[in-house]
Amino acid sequence: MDQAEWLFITGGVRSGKSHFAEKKVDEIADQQNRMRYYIASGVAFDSEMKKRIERHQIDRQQQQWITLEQPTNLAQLSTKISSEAVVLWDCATTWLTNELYVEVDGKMQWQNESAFQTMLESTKSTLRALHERGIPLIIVSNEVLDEQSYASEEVAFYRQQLGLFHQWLVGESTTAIEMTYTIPYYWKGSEK
Amino acid sequence: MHIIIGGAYNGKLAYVEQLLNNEQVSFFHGELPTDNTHGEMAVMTNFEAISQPYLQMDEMAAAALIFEEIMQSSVQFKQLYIVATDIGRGIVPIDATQRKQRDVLGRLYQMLFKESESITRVWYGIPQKLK
Repeated sequence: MDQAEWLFITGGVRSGKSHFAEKKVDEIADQQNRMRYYIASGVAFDSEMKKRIERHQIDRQQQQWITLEQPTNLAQLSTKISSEAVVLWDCATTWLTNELYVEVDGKMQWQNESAFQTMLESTKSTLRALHERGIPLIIVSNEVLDEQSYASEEVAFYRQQLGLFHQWLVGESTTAIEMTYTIPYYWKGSEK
Repeated sequence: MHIIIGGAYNGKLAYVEQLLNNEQVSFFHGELPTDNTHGEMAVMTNFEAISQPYLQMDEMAAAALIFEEIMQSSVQFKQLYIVATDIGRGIVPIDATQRKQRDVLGRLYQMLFKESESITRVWYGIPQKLK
């Protein structure tokens, strides 16, 4: 059997990443008779964010999606997902933001280097394990690193960790795409 | 001259290091090479720091001066590798000096791009030849 697809998609805001990703999931679900799983990382902290989440939900209503709310601690997913799944995770940037502020031993995780690294390793091994079970993964993230560095230690840490995580995702993926307003550029792999 | 460009934390430096694996390389992080540094290969990084002393000047004048200094120092080396962080695609900074820095580096990169024999963009570790 061929290796399951691991697709990584980044792009700017409103570039059509999520739409492209959802179409890709539909394709795989139909061809391989798989169940659509949606890992939601967004937290509705204001009304705009609530609307944003609702729009993504409406987009998914036509098909049968199983939505798993997982703002942090992705390791919890391993037992919640069937091997007959195709998984869409949207998106890594909001997840990483959430993880920064998880409290571990009285410290926020971004200030607790060892806790942060442990979390990162378990996230990576969870994703790897899902993929090794033959589950196709589609992971969406954002391009936010093409600007000046920040004086804020917190933002600098976030940028560094996001960049490193993206590098890891690209390394693991079978296909890596940068989306520019609906036009995909294939950095790795090709259109199937 | 060879240019490697890309966003922050995209693996640009690791790409160059792997490219020059078996070479004798001098690294210049945030500084221009001095007259007495020589060697086979040179890698220059951190133009944000290099541009700092020039930011009170006119945008084009600043870029031209830095460009000249780079070109002068490049003759000391067999090959010069420029590792450029693209900082021109974000929100416009509220701070005027930071805005100036984006403008100066944009102009500088344009000058360097014209001069360079090869340009490679690196996206999370993957190289793409632009020139």
